[in-house]
Amino acid sequence: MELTSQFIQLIFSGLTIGSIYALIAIGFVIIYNITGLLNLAQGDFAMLGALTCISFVNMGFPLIIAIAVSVVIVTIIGGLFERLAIYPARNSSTATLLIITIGAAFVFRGISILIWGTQPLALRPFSGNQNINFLDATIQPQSLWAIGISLLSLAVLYYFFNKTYLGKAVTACVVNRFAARLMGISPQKMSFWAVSISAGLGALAGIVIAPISGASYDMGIMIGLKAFIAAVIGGLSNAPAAIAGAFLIGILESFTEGYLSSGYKDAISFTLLLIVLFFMPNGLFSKVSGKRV
Amino acid sequence: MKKFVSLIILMLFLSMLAACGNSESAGGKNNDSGGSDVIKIGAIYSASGGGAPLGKSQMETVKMLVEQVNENDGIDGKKIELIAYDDKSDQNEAVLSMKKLIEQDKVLAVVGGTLSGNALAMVPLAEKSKTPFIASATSKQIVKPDDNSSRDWIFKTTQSDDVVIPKILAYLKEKNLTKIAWLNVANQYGTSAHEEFNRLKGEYGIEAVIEEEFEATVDDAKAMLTRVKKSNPQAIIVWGTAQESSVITKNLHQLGMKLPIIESQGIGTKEFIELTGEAAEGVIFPAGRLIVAEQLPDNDPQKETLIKYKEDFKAKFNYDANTFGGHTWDAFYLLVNAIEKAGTDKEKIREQLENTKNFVGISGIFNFSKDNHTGLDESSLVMVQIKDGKFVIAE
Amino acid sequence: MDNNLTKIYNRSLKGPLIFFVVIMLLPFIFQSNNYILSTFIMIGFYSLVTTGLTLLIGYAGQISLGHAAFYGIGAYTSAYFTATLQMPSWIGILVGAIIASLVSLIIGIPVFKLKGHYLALATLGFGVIIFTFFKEWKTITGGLNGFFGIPPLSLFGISFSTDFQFYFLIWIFVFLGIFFARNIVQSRVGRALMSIHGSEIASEAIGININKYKLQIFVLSAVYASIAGSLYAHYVTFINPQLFEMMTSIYFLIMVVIGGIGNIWGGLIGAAIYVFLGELLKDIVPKIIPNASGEFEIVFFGVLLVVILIYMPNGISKAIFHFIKRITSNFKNKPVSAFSKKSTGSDIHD
Repeated sequence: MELTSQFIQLIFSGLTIGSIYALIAIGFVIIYNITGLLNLAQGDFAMLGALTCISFVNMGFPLIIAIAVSVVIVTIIGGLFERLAIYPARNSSTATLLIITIGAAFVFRGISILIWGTQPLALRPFSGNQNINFLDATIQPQSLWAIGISLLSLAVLYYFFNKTYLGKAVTACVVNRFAARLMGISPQKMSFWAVSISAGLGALAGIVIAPISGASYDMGIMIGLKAFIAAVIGGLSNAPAAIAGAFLIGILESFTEGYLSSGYKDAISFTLLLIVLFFMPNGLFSKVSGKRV
Repeated sequence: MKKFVSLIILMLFLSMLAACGNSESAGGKNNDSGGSDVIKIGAIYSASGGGAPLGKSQMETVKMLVEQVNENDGIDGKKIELIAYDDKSDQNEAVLSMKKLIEQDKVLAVVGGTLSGNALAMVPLAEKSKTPFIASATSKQIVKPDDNSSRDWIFKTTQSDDVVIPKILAYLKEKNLTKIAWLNVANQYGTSAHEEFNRLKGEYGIEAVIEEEFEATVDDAKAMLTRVKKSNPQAIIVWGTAQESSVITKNLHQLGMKLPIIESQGIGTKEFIELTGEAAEGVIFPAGRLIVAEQLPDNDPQKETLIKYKEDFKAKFNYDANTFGGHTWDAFYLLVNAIEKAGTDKEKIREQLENTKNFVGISGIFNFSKDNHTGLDESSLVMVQIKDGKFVIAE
Repeated sequence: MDNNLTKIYNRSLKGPLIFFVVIMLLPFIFQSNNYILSTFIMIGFYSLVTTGLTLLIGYAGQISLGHAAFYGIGAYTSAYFTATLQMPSWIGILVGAIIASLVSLIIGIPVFKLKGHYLALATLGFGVIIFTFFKEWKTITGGLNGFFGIPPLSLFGISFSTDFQFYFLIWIFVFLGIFFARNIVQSRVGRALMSIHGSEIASEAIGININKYKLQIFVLSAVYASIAGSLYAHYVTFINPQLFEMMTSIYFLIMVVIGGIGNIWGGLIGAAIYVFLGELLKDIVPKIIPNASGEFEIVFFGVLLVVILIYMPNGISKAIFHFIKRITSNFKNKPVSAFSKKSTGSDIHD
């Protein structure tokens, strides 16, 4: 295989993997910015979304309906999660909350096994299987969906946070919780909505990912972690940076696999994380920060 | 608050009492753990955790078979009491469960070991306590360890890698495919096959132009596959179980690599075809006759047994039986057969197992001997191809 | 943080001594039952790790989500030195501890400058990286095929090859470990840590070098885990990388949380509860839901973790001690001192 076409193929692979991480990272960043919570169960929302959607599709629902219903269901689950696990512990330290989300993630996985078992399930790609060829490299149409949807979410979020009242209220909450309360904005309600919406976003991410890599109870673990890393690399403070971070990791992993060996793939991402943490804890793109989301 | 604490302390004591209670009631001598009218058999499978895709059907098979035997008056009128533990794919659990079965539940024999690592951890316990152990994992170290430690009490109902790999190598040689790309999943299942491949490929004139590993959690391996493509192989071997092999197979298809693809018996499930879609077309792999049972000629000695197992399993559990469950079927019936012939003395059972010949099972026809505790050879496998979304016997 | 100085310094050795004697006598009751002995032995290994981890999380207020890495370093080092290099067991244990200290130093120096959640993430990262080494460094570790044939532990001329012998060995180590931890807590280092926990700024103001103490405890907790790992390797004689992956680190964390982080016995209690509950579930769940398997355990521990963190963030051990105190003080008819009535306990700080 020619050098250039391998290179391009690796870029495509990297973008595909990166878009998977990006979609999860968005939800992650939203929650963090609004509530200060680091949600290690974010990947599992994706998992729940994917499996629920597959169930509906297998019951005979058209894809669009299945997607919509699944997203709504997972959003509700997110809300329950917030009320039952986060809200009662809202005054605990970040570390405690982090571990609570780990516990919740276990619960999601366990319930998932009980409902869907351990075998991976398949979801057919949204627009068929014909791969697109470009300079001797191929990219799946589903990857384009993933990339597209992450960019679209980004645009929607930008609009939401910068152009709507609710969005600005939410930002206010983040900047100064007390002042926000004085103005009649309830941080607790914000927290509830932030987690719920992120859950829904995560579900959507899972549904988009499923045709590429299959869906099973444990798909959320590594994806959630890598998205976490992406967000941290991006600086945790805004979604575009997180998405950039996600694509960065995706491409880095891809190139490691392509030129070195696949065994080190995970180690590379975590090494990058450590480098960023030690030398640039505000993230690689932190020049932009000041304003969140 | 106080009540909560008392409850916890109570639970702690209860569990300790439960543990004590079990050990007292189990009583009886080691040789005759049949008690008066019950035959105790232990089972340890990975019904959850990473090994669940293999272990779940194994656990369900053994439970179904025990029920069937007990409905037919058990063995010589004695019912079987099955004590089954899920080792959750965790080695420590496997070891603890094994100890529990041997020391506390005092079983006559154990069937189990979904994952090679867990089986290997259980082996020394079986040997030391002189309890027959029939494993369903694939590593040949289970019965033929490199350090030559004793394995008198250990048996295995899977074809070892040193039986499966030669089958593949012979097939490749026959088709004149000598430059091979080898890809395996990064766990014991994959690496032990890889070792075997490297050991034997020379004898068949096969050359490995590239050897790669992929993670069991892989989403997209096209990056790694670009290197494979660069190395210009004539055929590709992909060694993993259904989920990860499916991703690799799909990626190969997407990269337009139209080479012959040979995979492991781990993909012999309907899920693989569903997950992989049209990319699965043409994939060839060695397998026991179970998945092509209907296509066998009527005079095939295994056909009847295979079809009965398939139908019973599907009827009870609503999904297709697979080779892994098949290995458990073999382990169980070999044991039952031995008990029927030799009674409930552990040593006699062991001897009987060792001398079992021409036993028609799911994975093949078994012929055990003192040196051969696996009992299967290449004839137990057929090369299967995926055509039009179905498994057919390959030419 | 606990402002009950009498409780810390005047704690008698009576309780722990009785406990020690009971533990040492147990094997004679269960002599023929290797299963029960094994269960206790596993609790022993975990206790050693979690005691170190409790010091780190509870007293030094730092979080490690990657401690299985140190457990693994101890295990693989011992395996390599005794099986491959054919050296005596104590060398394996010692070298393991040295390597673990070095690694923890290298990790610790930059990491302790980070705050709370970043720290957790960094330790997670290191855990994964070290796990990758176990997987990839095939010539030394055997990679995913595992490491076979680790010889039995041989110390002071005794070869520990039965469960009965190993039980005593590990539990002596556990008690030594707890005793040592107790001394640290009562020493200058311990006071410094309490002060740091109370307020980092105030501590710095009075001249305490925060990072130095945090680092010391981190290294110490790594050594605890490493020694436990070495002993573990000799016990199971076969190890593979999957024993030391991220989930294992999280399980250690669960044990510490359950047991209680403000208390040196927390590690042991947490480990014991975790193992007992696990075994109990194994017995009970199949009777209630016949087709269930291990998944229930995962759900159960997840729920337990969440519930404890919300409603009992100090873990169970504090509650148990309150309970015991109430019983014993009733016996002694002594008025419970005003100092010891309320204890604010410690929890995980930023």
